[in-house]
Amino acid sequence: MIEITFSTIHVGTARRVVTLGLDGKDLADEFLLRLAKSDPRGAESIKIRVQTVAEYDRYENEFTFRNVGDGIYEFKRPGLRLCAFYDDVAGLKPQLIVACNGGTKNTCKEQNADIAKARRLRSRYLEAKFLPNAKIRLILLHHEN
Amino acid sequence: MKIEITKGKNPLADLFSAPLSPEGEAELQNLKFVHQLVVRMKEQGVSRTELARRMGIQPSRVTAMLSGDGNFTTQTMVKAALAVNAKYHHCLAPASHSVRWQCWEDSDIHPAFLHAESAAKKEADVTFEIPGFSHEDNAAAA
Repeated sequence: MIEITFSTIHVGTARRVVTLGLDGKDLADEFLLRLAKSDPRGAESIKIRVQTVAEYDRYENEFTFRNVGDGIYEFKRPGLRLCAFYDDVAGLKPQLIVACNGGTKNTCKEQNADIAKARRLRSRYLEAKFLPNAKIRLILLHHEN
Repeated sequence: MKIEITKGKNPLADLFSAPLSPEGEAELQNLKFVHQLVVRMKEQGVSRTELARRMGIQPSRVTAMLSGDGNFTTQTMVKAALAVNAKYHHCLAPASHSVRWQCWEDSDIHPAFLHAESAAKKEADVTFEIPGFSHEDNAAAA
């Protein structure tokens, strides 16, 4: 059984944004914390995109939140991307945007590698989620009830 | 599926709840503006090239604008709004307040006003009667 952890990073009007941990490894969390140290302004830009997209059930601007196929979207800023996907978990409101990994390189090859990794993480998560004994640990924000 | 809900230390969540820098706040406002612009472009079938033509700028500048990068001038936002048959508005509010916009046709009476009008009328029609209590008593007490 794979251990699934959702760590809430933002709760918007329409969506809760979480990072995805699988068996204790959370690539999106690691990426964003690393980015905050190396490029604080870039990290803030990604944060702003996350907060904006979470205000809408389906965000419309493909320049900042782009559908890259197979259910994967990327929060986009030149030279930076955070891959994510929409998901619903029964009983959880608001519904989710699950951030799974990120990258800082801008070449096509590296971008494709990040997206391919996101697809693998999503598939692994969905397999684990639909197992009969699946368990999800959701970490709330400090001020949430 | 079982869901276990907990609270725990999350440095990334702390980072996300920290106030934005002035540059970040400007970027957030730009993205909100751009989202509304994109929605109107889709509604009206206006392409990026067509938007650039209507605004009298290069398509590359429209792409940069839609990416939320850079600093928009008020003139750029006004031109973009006009290009999709809209009008640009802004307001300053106390930092602790939220702002909600409402749009309506000038020729119509907005339902909120209709509601307020009918509520005021209803209020005027209401009379209270308390047994054993007359207006004279009330006047004397006053």
